[in-house]
Amino acid sequence: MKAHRVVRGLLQNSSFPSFLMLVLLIILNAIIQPGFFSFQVFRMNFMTFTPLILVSLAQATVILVGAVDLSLGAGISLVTVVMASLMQDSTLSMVLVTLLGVAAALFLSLFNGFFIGYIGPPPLIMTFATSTMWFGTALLIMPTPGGHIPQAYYMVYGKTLAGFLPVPVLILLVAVAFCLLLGRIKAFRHLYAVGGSERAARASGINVAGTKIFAFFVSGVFIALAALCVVGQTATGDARSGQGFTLNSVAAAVIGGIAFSGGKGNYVGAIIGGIILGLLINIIYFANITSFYQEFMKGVIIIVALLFGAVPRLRRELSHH
Amino acid sequence: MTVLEAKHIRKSFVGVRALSDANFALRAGEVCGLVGANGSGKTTFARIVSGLLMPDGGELRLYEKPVNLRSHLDAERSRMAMVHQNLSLVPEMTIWENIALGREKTGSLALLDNRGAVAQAEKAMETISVKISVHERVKNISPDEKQLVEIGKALAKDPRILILDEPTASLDFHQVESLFRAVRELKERGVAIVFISHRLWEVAKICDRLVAFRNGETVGELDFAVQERNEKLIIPLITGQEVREKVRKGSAEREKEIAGRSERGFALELRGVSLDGGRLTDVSFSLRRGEVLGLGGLQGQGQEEILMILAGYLKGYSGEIRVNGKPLALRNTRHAIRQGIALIPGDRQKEGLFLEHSVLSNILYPKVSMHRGTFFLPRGRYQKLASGAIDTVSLVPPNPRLIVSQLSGGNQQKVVFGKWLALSPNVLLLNDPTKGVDVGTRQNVYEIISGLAEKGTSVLLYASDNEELIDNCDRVFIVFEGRIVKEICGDEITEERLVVASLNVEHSGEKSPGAGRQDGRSP
Amino acid sequence: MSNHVQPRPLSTSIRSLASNQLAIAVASIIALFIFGEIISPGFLSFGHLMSVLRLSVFLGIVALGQALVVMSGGEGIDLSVGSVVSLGVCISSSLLLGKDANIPAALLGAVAAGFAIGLVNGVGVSYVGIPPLIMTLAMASVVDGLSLIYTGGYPRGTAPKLLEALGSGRVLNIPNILLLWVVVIAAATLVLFRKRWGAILFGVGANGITAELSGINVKRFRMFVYGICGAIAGLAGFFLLGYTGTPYLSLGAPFLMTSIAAVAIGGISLAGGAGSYIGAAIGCVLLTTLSSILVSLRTTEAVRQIVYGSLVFIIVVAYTRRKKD
Repeated sequence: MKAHRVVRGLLQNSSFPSFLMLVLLIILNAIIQPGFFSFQVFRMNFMTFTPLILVSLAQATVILVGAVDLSLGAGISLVTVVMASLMQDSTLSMVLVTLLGVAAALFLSLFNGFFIGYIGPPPLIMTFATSTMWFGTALLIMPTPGGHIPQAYYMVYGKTLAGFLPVPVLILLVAVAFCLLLGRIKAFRHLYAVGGSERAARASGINVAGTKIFAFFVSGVFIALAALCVVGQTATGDARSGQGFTLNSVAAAVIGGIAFSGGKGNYVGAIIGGIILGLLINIIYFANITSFYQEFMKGVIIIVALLFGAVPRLRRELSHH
Repeated sequence: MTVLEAKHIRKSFVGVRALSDANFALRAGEVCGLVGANGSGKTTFARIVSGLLMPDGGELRLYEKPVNLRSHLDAERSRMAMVHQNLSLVPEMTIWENIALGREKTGSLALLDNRGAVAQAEKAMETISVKISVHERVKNISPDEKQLVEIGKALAKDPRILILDEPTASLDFHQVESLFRAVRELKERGVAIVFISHRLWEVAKICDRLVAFRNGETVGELDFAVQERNEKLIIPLITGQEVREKVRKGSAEREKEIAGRSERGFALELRGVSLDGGRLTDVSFSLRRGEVLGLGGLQGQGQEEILMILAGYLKGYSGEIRVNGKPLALRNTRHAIRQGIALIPGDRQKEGLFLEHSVLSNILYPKVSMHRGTFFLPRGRYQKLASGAIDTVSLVPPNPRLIVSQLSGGNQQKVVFGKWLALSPNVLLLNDPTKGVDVGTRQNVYEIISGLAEKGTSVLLYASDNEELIDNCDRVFIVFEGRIVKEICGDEITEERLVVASLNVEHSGEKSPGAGRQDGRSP
Repeated sequence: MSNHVQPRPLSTSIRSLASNQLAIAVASIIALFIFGEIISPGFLSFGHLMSVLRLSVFLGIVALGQALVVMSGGEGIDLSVGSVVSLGVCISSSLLLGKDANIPAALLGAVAAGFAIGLVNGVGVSYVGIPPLIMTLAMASVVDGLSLIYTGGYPRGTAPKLLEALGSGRVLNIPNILLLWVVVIAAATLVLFRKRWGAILFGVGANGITAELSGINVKRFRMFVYGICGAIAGLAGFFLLGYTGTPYLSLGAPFLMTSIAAVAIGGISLAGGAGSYIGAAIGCVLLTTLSSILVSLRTTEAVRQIVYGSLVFIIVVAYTRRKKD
């Protein structure tokens, strides 16, 4: 029964539970947030969703290869600080500083990737250390939030092109195109191999260190895009602006079905995870919860979301036991 | 043409001389066996030849030209492929992705050519008569199927030299036959094959020649063109000693011994034990005291599940289990251990050892786990217990401070045994205890087992190797698709009967034996 | 003979990798103190030495919990310790209200709250199967929120005299709390290497399946280890209040990074199954010494963060390279 096999394959797909969650949350959001399905609200939502989705993709890539990046948030902060302290009103400056920002994001990621790939310290501690280093550097450059982002620049983030395509969505489409391209590249397949079983990958002749560096490079691309979004959204440089992104990125990736052990999951799930997290944060905001409870609720909701993500997986594992 | 030649290869590791004088020659279209005990240097030699290690001295020639292999990729470029033991498969990826791993071909624009990879994988799988879809993920297939995929992966590289390292360790005789067919086909095409194995009867069957290693050097050769294909000729080369004819008690004598103990009831009784999903259905049998009961049959038919349930590890079974006559629900491992049940698990590295801990630490762990009473652990008493265990299993070297990861596979397995000896179990469950273990250690292990049985320990043994069942068991139950389909006793335990029963060929309405029998005796 | 292979520091057994690392750590501490004396005379005085050691105690206590979690295996880590310490401070102060008589209640409250939070972590990690990194990271947010809710943004109460005597007082110029720490170190080392619980912990951390087959309920054991870590963090908060006198929100925040750094410096493998608390303790002293130097150099928080991060980075990379050799 081919249909039966297709359905089973669908149900066993690592992204399926998150897809269900997504549907549920969309419904909830529609109830709570007024005008949820209107274009205005759609556009505004995606202004915050896009960076979340991007960092989810970034973290997902790193987790897939068997590592983790706890310096993601601090990296974003550092990039915003660098950009805000250098940018001036001329178009040339805007272009150059943007390129510099992208280069900085790539550099930070590759720094992690190089050491984790070639020397092999535990990624958790390594990125924990670099996150402190980046945070300190950001504080050094800009002890209090500020800097200068020209209006012409950050307004772009809020614009809508051709009357129907908000800029954040465009950025997202670029990211998706990048994802599709990646899927057909050899190095990407090797990423899954290294994350799935480093020993097997090595025995098959794969350059493990190179693959890890590649993963961090790809992650850096997503981080760069996310940093640009944050700059566009906040128009300032802030050494603490990225703090929340670390937990959010990990949670989004895991909720999206990326297995923490590596080698399992896909970008579709990561994107869904990012949207789910955005919707969750939306719900907390619009449910009129007092600011005292917001941090608390966010943590609780993430745990609950993880619970729902974990339970179907557990049931499958137990039946194999 | 002599495709591979090794002369006077030397290799030392820190303080250990692994190879002092290794010699080997291989001709095109020939299957040459490579045998030797753990620690004989044969594994080191295989790794040097396949480029994983660099030798300290000696000469290596490929296709009659001297070579210097710096990595296994160098070896692969020389059209040499090596089959690992499950070391090069990524569980989450599909079979075809695994087969193509590391050699992915790209089409235009440097994008992956998936269709080509799938086709190549299908062809490779066909060569060894494997019927699983190449789109299946490796984690979903059984260990024997994984082994076959490893072999397929090597074949897909279209090698001129193929090194098979313990390729049949997880395979049943059906699959071994398929492999041998493929090997013969390759021979005809002029491929040269090195066949490394502990399974001497297989070596005798498929190889044209063999080379034996002992203590780091080549000690002998056999050419089956002139000599008889008899394992008994091989064993002395490996052990350096005359073959010890196994002194085995006749089955009548064993029956008397066991009957003598039966007055005190059975050690274990299973009645209608089942697991959901059809993994086990209505399993019933009884284990008498001091008996060695075998579980036979093809791989993965439920033997491991039976053992895991009795160990208290696998939960959620239905049916009744009695230990020493008392009906019990084995809730967890602690419960089982308290009843005197001990399990030697199937994968010693993943389930039986703390690799980075000392021998002492490993041996004492179950004892420590079950310990009650004193405020601090009684070091002196425990140390003596451990020394005793190390002695009983003849651990080499008998140093309790050694880190287990530094021991050979056979000695590691001895540590796993030693763990449970300190607890004096009533029932010993064995999950394929001599898989991947050399001939010398295998004899040790079975001496330990028969010693325990004589002293009254009841043994439930699952062995994938029929010969072990024949040599050691008083009775054998054959398991097929989660059911017990036949009971074979005493002198009737022969290779032929075991094979026939394993395939469940005669299912002529025979009632599942052992069910409903009150005394567990043979019919 | 200990029931585990881990050699004592400064021993000369074959696998003395850990002891080499610790020797380097101790040497670094000495070097730092000399450096400190150079830039700020009086640094090496007995009084100041004791001050630094006293400060290390609080980190040391938190690091004990972290060390246990890491040693229990399964990629164990607790990213919520900082938040639990803060909560411990708040709960203690609000129960104490400056009265000695309330000490037992406050102690119980802080420890119980920490234990409960730890158990939630443990259930999520062990029974639900959520990776420890995420579970504890998310719990950190939850606990931070709890602190906020509990205090309403304004922590009340102060430490009573007795607690202050413990936290800030001295006996023969040796801080009381330091004496307490010595006892803790001795007790922890004893439990780890002489008692059944410690031996079981090392096995559970080394290989959960092997431990389970030897009769240990691994899930339940690991859950309790997280509980203990939380309880210890709550306890640290209680003591910390004795040192600061008045409570502040987020008093425990710096302890998160430093507890993990101390564990790393102490040579405790993040994979679990090996290590000793003494190593982590030395790591705590090293980090606190470094912090003290940075303060006397009047560096900004920015520089402190960079130095801390770089130090951990260098140490971790150095350790990894040694292991590979």
